[in-house]
Amino acid sequence: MIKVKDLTFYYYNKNEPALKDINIIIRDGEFVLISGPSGSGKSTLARSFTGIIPHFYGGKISGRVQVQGFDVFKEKTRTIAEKVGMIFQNPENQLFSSDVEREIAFGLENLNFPINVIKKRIEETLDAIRIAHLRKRSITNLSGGEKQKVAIASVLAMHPEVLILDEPTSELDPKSAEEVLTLIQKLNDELGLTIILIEHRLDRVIQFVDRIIIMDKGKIIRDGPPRKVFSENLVHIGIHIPPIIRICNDLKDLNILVENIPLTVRESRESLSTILNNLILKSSFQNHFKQTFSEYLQKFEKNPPLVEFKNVSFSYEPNNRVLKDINLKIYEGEFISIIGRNGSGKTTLLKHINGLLRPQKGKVIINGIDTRKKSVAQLARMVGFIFQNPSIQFYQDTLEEELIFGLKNFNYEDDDIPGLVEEMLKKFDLEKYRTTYPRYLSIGEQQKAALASVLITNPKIIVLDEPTHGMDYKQKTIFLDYLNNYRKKGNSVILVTHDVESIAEYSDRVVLLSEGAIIIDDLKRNILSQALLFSPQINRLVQAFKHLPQQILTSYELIELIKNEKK
Amino acid sequence: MARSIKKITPFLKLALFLGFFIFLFNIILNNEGQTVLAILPLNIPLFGHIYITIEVIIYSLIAISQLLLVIIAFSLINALINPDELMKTFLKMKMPYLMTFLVTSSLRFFPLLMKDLDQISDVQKSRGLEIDKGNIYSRIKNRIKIILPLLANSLERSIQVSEALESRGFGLKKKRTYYKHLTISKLDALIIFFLLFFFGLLICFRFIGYGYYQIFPKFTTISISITDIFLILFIIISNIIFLLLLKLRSKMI
Repeated sequence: MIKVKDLTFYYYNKNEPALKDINIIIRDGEFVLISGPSGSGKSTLARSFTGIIPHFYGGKISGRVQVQGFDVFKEKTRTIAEKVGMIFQNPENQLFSSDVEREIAFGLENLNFPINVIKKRIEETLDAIRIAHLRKRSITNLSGGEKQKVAIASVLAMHPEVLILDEPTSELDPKSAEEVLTLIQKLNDELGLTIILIEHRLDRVIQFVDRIIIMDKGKIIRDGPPRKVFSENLVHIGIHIPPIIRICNDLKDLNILVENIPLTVRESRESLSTILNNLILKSSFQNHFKQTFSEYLQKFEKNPPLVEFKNVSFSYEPNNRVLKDINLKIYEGEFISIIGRNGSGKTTLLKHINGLLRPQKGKVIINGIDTRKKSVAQLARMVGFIFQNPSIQFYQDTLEEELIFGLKNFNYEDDDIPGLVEEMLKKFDLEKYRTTYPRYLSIGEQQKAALASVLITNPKIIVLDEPTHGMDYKQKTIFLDYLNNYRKKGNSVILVTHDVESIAEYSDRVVLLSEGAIIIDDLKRNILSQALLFSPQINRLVQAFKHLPQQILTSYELIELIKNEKK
Repeated sequence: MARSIKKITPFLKLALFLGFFIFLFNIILNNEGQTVLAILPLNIPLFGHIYITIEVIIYSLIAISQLLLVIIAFSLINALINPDELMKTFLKMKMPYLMTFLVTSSLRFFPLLMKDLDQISDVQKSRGLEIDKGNIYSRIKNRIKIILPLLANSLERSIQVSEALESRGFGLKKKRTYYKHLTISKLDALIIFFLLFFFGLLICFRFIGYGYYQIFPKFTTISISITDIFLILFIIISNIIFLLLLKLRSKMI
């Protein structure tokens, strides 16, 4: 059992508390989900259960935290480690050994278990996590999902009573993320482990959890079973609310009451069946969402393409082509998403657009210029590139200096720079972070700063490699809205993402890559609707009601239909 | 085997690159030796005329081969030895655990560092940084703009790593078990004995007077006696036996 009483915590040298008056009791065997916008104190709270806070980070703390009978503030972190296991975001940074077996043994070795116990525990754990086939593999050669499973195994081998996971899937692709989450659910269900899971994306776990704790600004603002917590509209807090729940909240605002808040698509079909079955469409709406790809292209084809791939092939190693005969034209004003499995060549394709990679066969033409004739830095004036992890590039002491560095790269005159920096800070609402160390900013703000420094040259093309990874809902919306406005000024946006809900909302056109080849290049509605895997939740709901337009993808579109019927 | 060779090729390339400069600088700056092959018509201030002598050429070739040898030896350690095995060996030699952990974990995180380096240079290039343009001074300055974020990144990583170590009970107990003990088999003992024996033998020969070659001021032709031929044969045969023993060991594991 975890008991937290009047916990308040200040990080070293901070005037704002990171946690304020926290009171909770978590019973043995509970599956608790902690969510909230970035900077709300989720990770801080979880770290106070293991004693990493305050022992590792220092700072001011008051109140009491008891974990499995131990007073956390008095015990050493390492003693608590026997009772509480913690898994962190980045699997890479929590593995220390060369192969899987040794990694699982590592914690047990530290606790001085005899060899025969270690051997037995390794066998058990390999089976429990179902990674026996990986046992001799070297850690370096595992995929991200496999690494995270090994990390979980190595903690599980120590037989903890509580397992805390801090956004364990944020660095993983959707398939591995789902596997890891299913595994966590199984550990709770079959082994009775108390699970405390911190997650941004709720749609994949919400049906498994007993309890959701929502935090904001260091306080617990909601605490209860998922259906109860989400019976009110919480969208203003800035967390990702699954679309099937959001539609119920929106209906409530229209005075249509949905009795049972659904947690899965299946439940939503039942909860919304009367409303949707009785929905009679205006005839104008029947064809509202239908448009063919050639009709769409006609609008754009007047202008020459901004980006053109002509029979492009590329391989990192001989005989293993990562891109195969890619032909692609992207026009002014398009918002195009590129989807596909990990390793399908998405990032390789993107890197061809700004010349980080040059085609080995074929040509890439950007705004009429062959990429092989320009350096990356020269192309950077036309192509802005945003990477998944913005913090990796920062090294200056303040955000302001970081922006100045970007401008100097583009050879702006020293006299112009202060004015331009002001403009960027203002435009992206970053003025209050002017003197902050960039790595202390949340991922959303870091990504805005990265975007600001890329947009200063007004590039015609913006290329983004999973930029919204790790952002909360509010940050993601602001970021994507900005991009959407930018492309309306005659620029094009090319986005690689796993997030179908964002594609459904913002994109026009989707390109599906598989094993280095373009499988489909079509409008988003033709690809995302009635698909087995990438359909957004609302589309999967609508598929059960055949009289509704089957191309509906988002909750806004469905609400629009319902509103129009009412009038 | 082929994989090990692939692993050491970058180091070999580096060695040859350095070797080229050793050769060049020796030719230009080293005017010793009496067998002059050519005199370059240049007159460089401070150095005077450049004499190219056979002695200098031989001297720099020997220097290059010595460099190659050292680099191959170290890159072989890197390519062939499993860091965990290395740790177990250190422990066997009664090194403190913390020290050995430091060494082996840095081997584990080194590839990540290289990956970060690639990524950062991609990002900075995409932000308009011309890495390979300009004179040497500005090139070095641009590299710093990649190295500094790398340092900041590694610092951040080290905090995360130590958090994870804390929660795995690292250093909790004074005593610690070691899964997978290192055992020294008879074959291992034989190999070690062989190595030490051979090493001792080489040192003895050196003391007797083998292995010296006087280059400066004037090179002499080498005369090879029958004992020399026996010695060379002995070295080659023992090397082959040693390799066979190693092969046998790798098959047994």
